[in-house]
Amino acid sequence: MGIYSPVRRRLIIALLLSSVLLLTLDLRGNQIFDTMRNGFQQAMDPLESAAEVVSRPIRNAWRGITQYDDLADENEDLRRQLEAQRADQITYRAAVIEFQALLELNNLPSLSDYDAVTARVIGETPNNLDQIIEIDKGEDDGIDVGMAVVSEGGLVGKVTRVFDDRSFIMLVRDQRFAVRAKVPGAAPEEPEGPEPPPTSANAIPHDDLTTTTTLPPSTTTTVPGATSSTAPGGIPGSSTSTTSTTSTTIAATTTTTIPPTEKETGTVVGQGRGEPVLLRFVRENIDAGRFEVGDAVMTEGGEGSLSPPDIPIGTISRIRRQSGSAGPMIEVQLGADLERLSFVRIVLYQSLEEAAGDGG
Amino acid sequence: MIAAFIQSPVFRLLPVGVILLALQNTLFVDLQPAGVIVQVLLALAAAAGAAGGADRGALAGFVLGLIYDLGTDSPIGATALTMALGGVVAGIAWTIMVDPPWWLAAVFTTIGAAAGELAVPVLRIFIGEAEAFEPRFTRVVIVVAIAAGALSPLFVPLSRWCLRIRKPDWKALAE
Repeated sequence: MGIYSPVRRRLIIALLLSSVLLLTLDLRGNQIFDTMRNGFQQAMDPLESAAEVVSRPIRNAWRGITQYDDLADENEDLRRQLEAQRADQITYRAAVIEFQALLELNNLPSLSDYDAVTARVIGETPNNLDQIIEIDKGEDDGIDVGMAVVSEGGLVGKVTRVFDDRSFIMLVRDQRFAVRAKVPGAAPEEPEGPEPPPTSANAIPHDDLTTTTTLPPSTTTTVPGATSSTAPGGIPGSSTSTTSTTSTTIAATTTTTIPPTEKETGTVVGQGRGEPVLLRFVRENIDAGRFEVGDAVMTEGGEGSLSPPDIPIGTISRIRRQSGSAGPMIEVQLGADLERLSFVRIVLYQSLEEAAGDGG
Repeated sequence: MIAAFIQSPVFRLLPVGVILLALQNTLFVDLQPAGVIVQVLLALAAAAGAAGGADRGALAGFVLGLIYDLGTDSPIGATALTMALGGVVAGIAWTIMVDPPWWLAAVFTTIGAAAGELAVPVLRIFIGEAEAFEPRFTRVVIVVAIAAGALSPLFVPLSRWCLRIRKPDWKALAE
């Protein structure tokens, strides 16, 4: 009996058509399929745990063979980085506290305002196209489709499918991933005209920001005959005169105007495993300044965005400027290490549009 | 009915597919030659095609693909379709020779696996994904295909057992 006998041909065609039918039904959204998938995956859990245990020695041996040199180099490199970053950490921590205080002072939202759920990564999609991981928290913990997922290093991805006690996360490097992003505080070009002198070194990503800072009251004691003293911090214009030897409390109030920090917006898109993430659809604005390697890239947020603003995505690692109207091709080095994800945090944030949709 | 199911080719294929999926999700996600995840279920579907012809390859591909779709986040039917295609392409071996030798079965398992992996982004484009082909895709197809060919000496006998494929019992006419 040849390969193309009618019976065989009919069987092949029937199977292919059945696949297409199932695919169509699933893509249109089918509750029965979701239930089946959930049940099957729960049934697979013990088997996968067993396979995990059984295959561990093989995987360890494989890693030992293929990754030993890389790991040794990486270990040395990490030790060096750790040393360098210990000092930076102290500086950054102080800057973050200051930044949070300023946000609070101006009633601006910050990432710490949103609740988050910590989840363990329990699986990874086994095919070569999708960049999807599975976590052990789901709808029962308040997770919803579209929520941003972060790790210590920054944005990891977004929730794409949710079951009661598990969810699937599409990683930033997936080709289907896209999120609005901004490059805050791009270094400005040479100023053309006279500009007001900046009064603060902080680069706060907010347009036309004016802030009033009130320093805490302080106590200054002056010696007899002294004519003036200076408030803590040596802020000009806050001096006062005293003529007695008693303690004097000074409440120093200054008004600080921070010049508007320019920012560029675009869309961060993935290109698949092993390929850099791209920041696309940006137009380099000469007035705003040019991008530089090392500039931070953060989520933009906003009404339509599923992600809250100011989640760090990474830093610019390469810029390819193109002629014509096309903007520069910007490669972004992700802050999060997507190869070694054990725990992630899901930011329980809903965009205003979505929240309005849920409400009505 | 139960007896018919037990006698059907799918009966043995289901547990083998589930075990292979568990290994695919754990072991083979880590063992990545050249950074590519080896597709063992696709390799078994292609081996079934090389061992038993296009129809059995399609059947094995359909069943294994459904198991894969249920166990992962891919749309149900998507992998069933691509693996069935891989099985059919591998089954072309039977147009050359019934019961091909191991090396020819390995060659056609390789070709079938390549066809199955190649069909994945093509299908993604059909279902509306804009950029389904990623830059390293050529490498992915080559590694998946070669790995399937390397696994075929193991998977061809396994698929024969699963699908109850018996070797043709032909006798020479001279006697």
